[in-house]
Amino acid sequence: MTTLGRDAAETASSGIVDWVESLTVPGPAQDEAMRLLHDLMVRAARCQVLRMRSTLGGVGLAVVEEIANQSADEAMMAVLRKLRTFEGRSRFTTWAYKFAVLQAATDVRSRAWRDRDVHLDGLELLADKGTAPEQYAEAADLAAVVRTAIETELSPHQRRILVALVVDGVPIDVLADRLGASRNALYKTLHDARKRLRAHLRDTGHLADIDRQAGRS
Amino acid sequence: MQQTVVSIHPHGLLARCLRRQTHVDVRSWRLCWLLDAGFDRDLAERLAADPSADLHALLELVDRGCPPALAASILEPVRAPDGTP
Repeated sequence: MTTLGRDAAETASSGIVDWVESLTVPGPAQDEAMRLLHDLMVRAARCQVLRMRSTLGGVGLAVVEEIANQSADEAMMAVLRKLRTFEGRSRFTTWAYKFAVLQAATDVRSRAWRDRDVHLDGLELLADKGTAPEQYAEAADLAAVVRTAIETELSPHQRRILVALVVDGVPIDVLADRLGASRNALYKTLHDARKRLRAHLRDTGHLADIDRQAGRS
Repeated sequence: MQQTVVSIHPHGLLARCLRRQTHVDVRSWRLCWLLDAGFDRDLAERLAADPSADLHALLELVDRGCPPALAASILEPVRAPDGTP
């Protein structure tokens, strides 16, 4: 069933016309709306966790259920916190559904990385030898320049962040969580690091090569 | 496919620190980042164990030349007289 189809079905089966009011005004209707919303959050979260289950190393359904419930609780809190920001541009259940999906995706990524080592000794820039010799030479040269730029142009912390996010592929929310920082702070550092690298590559005459390889003029 | 490998950090302190850990939990991982940035072990262990310590902000201060101990003092949560944050 599509999200919209599910949404219509939710509204029809719940009988709730105004979710915001039902969730806001204390009383039996609020209790019922809370229950229905939580059910929706659990279903949405479960669906997302199952979709990403392969990243969790073959965990059983009990773990899937555990993550889904935890995500649903978090998502429900987020929905209730942001209830006043609901503008009615989509159905309420569609709007709320996204909270659960996003929260579940974040929780699965965090779980997948929770005990994983973040190696720096395995960090490599690879130049593919399967291409023509001159292309290989260019790529190898570029890889060496980028490596040098990472070592010399970035501050130590910029280097750690760039390597973790870009080379090692650590999800930004996981890295933010580990560092006790916000994602925006990491985005800012990553942006600054990229800016420095681009400036260096431009100064050394390599940026034109990169743009050409990327098909940009 | 043949590939030429160009390592970025073949001998980095952080890499060695992480390699030494038999099981890298979040606390050990945070500890390695702090040691790599020049924090002394006692302070690094305290901050690594404190989930409210924002390592990113700490390491940015150190990047700008702030001594690690001073950075930790600057970013330490202000506590009420009864010890609550």
